[in-house]
Amino acid sequence: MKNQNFYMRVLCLVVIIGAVFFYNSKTQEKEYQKQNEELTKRVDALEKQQQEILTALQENYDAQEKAKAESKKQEAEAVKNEESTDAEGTDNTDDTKDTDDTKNADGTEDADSAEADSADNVYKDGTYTGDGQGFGGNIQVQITISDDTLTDIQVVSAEKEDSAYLSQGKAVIDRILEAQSTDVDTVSGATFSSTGILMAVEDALGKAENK
Amino acid sequence: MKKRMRKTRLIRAGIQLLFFILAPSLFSTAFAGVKSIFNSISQGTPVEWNSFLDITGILVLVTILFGRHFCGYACAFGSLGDALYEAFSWFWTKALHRKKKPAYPEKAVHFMQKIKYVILAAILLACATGVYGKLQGSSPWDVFSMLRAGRLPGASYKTGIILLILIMVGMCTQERFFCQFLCPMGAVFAILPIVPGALLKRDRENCPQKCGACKKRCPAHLDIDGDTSRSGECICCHACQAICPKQNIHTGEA
Repeated sequence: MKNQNFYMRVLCLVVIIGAVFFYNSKTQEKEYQKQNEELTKRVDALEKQQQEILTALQENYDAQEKAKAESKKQEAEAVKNEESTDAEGTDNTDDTKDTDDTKNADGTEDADSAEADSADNVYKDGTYTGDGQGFGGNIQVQITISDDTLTDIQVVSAEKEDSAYLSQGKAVIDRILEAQSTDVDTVSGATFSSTGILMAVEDALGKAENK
Repeated sequence: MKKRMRKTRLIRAGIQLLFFILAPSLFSTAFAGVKSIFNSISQGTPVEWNSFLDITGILVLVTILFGRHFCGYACAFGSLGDALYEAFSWFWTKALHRKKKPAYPEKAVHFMQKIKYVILAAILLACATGVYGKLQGSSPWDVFSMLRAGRLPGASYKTGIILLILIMVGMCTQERFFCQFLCPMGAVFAILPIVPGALLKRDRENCPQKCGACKKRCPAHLDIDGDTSRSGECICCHACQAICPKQNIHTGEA
């Protein structure tokens, strides 16, 4: 057959590309499964929470009923002109219980924000620039901090970096923002550029520190 | 004929110099794309298109459509090899007054051309198993790109430096030593299907008997016969075309 080597190689290439797609669909399936499991877990937790809230409400309601029943008893026992003060009394118990409830529900969130707040005032709010050594030369980044949270990292200049490596290395920015820390892995294949960005962010954070 | 050969050589050298200055990291970027596929396998994540694969994709497409002209004309590491080989040949013949350049026998060349597939497989296996990350500093390409960028590689690059020196010594002994024997990206290009019309062909019927100038000149010792099992080894240097006394070598179907 004419050009048989060519056709054989085309076949091999197609097989390789097909294998990559097959691999991708497999891993994606796994990822979906993982996500599914996580979601069901979350739904379960939410249902549990809902149940707790419902029972709490039920208890609350029961308590109120009791109080009402008691007040009715009192009513029966008391003289007619004392009625108005009684009504106020029940109202008061209602209010305090309600506020208790909301506090309970918010309890977990409060703890979270308290943790973040405990490191308060480590950094000053604002934008800062920092420098790091990339592959070919200097990399300058600009970071934005508000309320001790790194909200944005931009590469301002990286003149001597190869564009393909730099855009790969920029993946480290997402890792930093997600972890809110510079203690993250560098990007394999773009070690120099990502290390440079890391160093630059550290440099900028140093400038932002509240002394 | 001499004039024609000189002209093709000068044009090629000019293009090589241009690429060496403007786009010297294409070869390692393209290979980083190949490695990135196997890196994601080692991490169990889906293979995603990235900026490395942009370069890999373009070079693979160009090679499939037009042959390995990237290797012959644009690769900075290949140009380094050519420069070293030319310099050494000049030194050998002019300064030492030797007539014959050192050369490997054809069989040895054909055997050594297979080493690059082993290297490619080893590197990709290392990537897929996650071992590659620990081999930081042993890549001669890293050392080369650092030197090119004007940076001195540190002590952690000892293995890479030694390998680069060995490769550079090898480059002096044989034209395109690294490209045909060791280059993992060359191995990728060599197994690509190259459109038959882009391959160099020889019009054997018009050849004088016992000429074989093209095969003698070919750095890869190829029979220039279009689609053969070894046609992927052709780096499209067009030296055969320039040396053919009857201009019998052409690309295209005819």
